[in-house]
Amino acid sequence: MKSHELILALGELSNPSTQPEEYARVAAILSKDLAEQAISKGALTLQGIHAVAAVADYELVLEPSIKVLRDNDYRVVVSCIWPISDILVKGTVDRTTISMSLSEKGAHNMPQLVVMAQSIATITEIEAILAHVLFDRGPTTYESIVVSSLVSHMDAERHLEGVLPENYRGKLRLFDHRKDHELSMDGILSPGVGGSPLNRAGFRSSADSRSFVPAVFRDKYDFTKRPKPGSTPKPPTPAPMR
Amino acid sequence: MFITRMALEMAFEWFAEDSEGLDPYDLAEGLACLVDDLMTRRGEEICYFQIKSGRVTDRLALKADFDNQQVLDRRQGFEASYFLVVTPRYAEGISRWLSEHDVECNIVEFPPVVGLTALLPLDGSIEELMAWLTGSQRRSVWIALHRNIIAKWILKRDYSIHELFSEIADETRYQSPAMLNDDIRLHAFFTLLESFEIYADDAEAHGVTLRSDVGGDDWFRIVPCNIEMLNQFDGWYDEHDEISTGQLMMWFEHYREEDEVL
Repeated sequence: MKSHELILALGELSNPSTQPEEYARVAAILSKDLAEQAISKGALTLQGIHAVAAVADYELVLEPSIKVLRDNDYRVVVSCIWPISDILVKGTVDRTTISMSLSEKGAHNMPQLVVMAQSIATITEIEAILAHVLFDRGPTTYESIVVSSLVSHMDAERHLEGVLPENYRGKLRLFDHRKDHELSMDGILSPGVGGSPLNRAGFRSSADSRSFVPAVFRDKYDFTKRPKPGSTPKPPTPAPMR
Repeated sequence: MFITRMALEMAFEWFAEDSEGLDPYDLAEGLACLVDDLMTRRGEEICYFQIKSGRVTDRLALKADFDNQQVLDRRQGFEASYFLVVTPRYAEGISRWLSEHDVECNIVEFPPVVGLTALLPLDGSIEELMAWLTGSQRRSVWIALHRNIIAKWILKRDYSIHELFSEIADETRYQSPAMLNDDIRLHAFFTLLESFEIYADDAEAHGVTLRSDVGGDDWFRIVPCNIEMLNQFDGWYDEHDEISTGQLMMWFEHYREEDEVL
């Protein structure tokens, strides 16, 4: 039985009129609860977790969740992924490619993978994220994969199970607060999160989302300027004439 | 794979089976061509698939396919595995017939949920093949390529999947002629990036994967290495006397392709 607070939060989440601050607040409540569910239901039995989210879900879902995990003594390293989604045939075929990703040191040595999202409509974005994590990063073996989504399509779990490589079959667990039935022709879940997760996170487009890099990564960028290769160093400024 | 299953479902909806239970457009055969192309005779683990929908009426032709393939493989010194993928309700009857006629193959019931992915070997031979077909070194590109094929096929149903596959492999291989034909410029570009600890890794249809170590973290960005991008980069780079790795990474992060969509 869901608590009154969670039911109210879920209502706000799916209301297109919910303002960004309130949306972030309820998304955090619901995300934390999913993390607690994953712990209490025995889905996270090992201490090391590679937590992954698309950029639209990073602040709204991943950050509140990993706080719960870390408070419960899990070692969590994160990856943020920038997907580009494309509708090829309206209502039938969509695809997602990964344009960029950032992963904390040691992410790919963790024994458990947790992928977090605001919503899963069609599974193409999660599938592309999984393909990137499991294949682009080289051979990685996770003991289990947990997918945590505030809301998901009723077929999401079945489809996700179907696209996983064979050695991960039976190792997937999906946690969500509600299963929705309706998908728009643009692949948006309804009522879902009341619109596109990208827009809910304040981005106008996938390209626009690359203007945001989480501080945990951006703070490590090296902005030390150096001469361009091949350029002749400028001669020292001569001392002023007397 | 999800999309394969979806395509199959749509196809069966559009092209209803006739009274004999046959698929007049022979979608299964098209998919078999596709998968067989994916399973070219390369790599350590060679798998040969025949995918059949319905009751498989022309069993002698099926036997001939397997026999011919096996003769060919033996002549070339290949050791291969042979699979027949069938719909579950016909599996038992076909299996018995194949056994009676000494056809060497493993029967796999078409998985109603998991699709073709479950049948693909996990030894990297698919990725290696796709890298060869597409000129790409990025392992996951075949997933996108497969989707492209299916999507194009749905839009243009009069194509055979085999034709579409060839078309897309060609398109993909030569999608960035500006990049492929300008090796000297590209070499200079990658050498420049290397001096800032940004390394070009894999090349694929969408561009080149750039990687860098950011204080122990891993930065990964795919950029299209075409003339437009290189010109824009050169214009920006020439404006600066000194530059940092962080600035370079941010330039690539903000570089926007014209066709990027929501």
